Amino acid sequence: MEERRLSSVPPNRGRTVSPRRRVGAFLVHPYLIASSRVLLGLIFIRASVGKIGHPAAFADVMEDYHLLPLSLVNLFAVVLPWIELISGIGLVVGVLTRGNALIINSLLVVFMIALGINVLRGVDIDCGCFDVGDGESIQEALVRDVLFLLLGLHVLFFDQGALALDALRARRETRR
Amino acid sequence: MWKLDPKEVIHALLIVVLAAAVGLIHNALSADGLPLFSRTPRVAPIEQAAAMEIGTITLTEAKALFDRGEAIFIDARPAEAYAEGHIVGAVSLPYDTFEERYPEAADQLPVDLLLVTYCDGTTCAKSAELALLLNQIGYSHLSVFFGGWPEWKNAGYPVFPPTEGEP
Repeated sequence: MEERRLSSVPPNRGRTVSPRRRVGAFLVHPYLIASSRVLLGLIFIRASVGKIGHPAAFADVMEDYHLLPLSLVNLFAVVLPWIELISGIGLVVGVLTRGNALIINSLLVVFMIALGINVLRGVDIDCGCFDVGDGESIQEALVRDVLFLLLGLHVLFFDQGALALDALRARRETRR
Repeated sequence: MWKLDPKEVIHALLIVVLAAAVGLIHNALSADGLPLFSRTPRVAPIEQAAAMEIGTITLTEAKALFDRGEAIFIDARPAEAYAEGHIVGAVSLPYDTFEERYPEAADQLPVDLLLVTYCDGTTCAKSAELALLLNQIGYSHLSVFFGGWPEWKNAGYPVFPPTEGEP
């Protein structure tokens, strides 16, 4: 009995924790993941608002990217900001977190490809990422999207549902 | 190891479909709704400029005007690009910060002399957009040097600061 109790003591107790492990533990801290989730959600909500309010201007920006056939530009300009908005809200409140994180990460990858192609083409176009016509360069946007993608992957890989509505629902289901 | 649950992919697809539906409904009801599948291409600034009778000039024409001192060159690129190198004597008036910079540039822009705007060459529309702006505020002698900075520099024409290794 005494022996068993002893063996259940975590092997780390009393020893110094390696800094690497400490960073690892910090990265998967539920509240840190929840912060990434809410922050990324707010960013996407913020990004969608200007585009939803000015669809024609956003469609012009999308045309300037020269990636979509002209006939699809308007359709994408109408739909894309709503995907950003709804997934953003989903992340903030933590509903279907992983599904929404999947969408946002996919969007970020697509954005980075679109930006990257135009950076390589050497063209000087408006990013249109947040407010249409804010003059942000596509190089800056590309760097920033890398940071956003890190947030997104943090959520997608490590989210355990802290401070999320998903967790609330899961708890209710297990109680039933 | 983290695995993708097919259920999560289905969730993601459903959210996209839902968002698309909301977007389409909003577009149909909104006063600034767009036609979904028909789109007239945007008139490029250079064509707009042509419609305003703002001509474009070639490298040779630009050099001739430069040599005869018959034009003022206006650099539409950002101030940092101008600082790195520009056509000798060009006035910096970045298109992106036009409203802030115009007051200081204004006294270098005579109304009766030809003003030639340029930017980063044919991949850049700021020269034409700047010319359109200047046209709107009352300048009428305008031209766009569409080849812009890359053509000028590659031709070895006078630049400031002078390129290293050149006499």
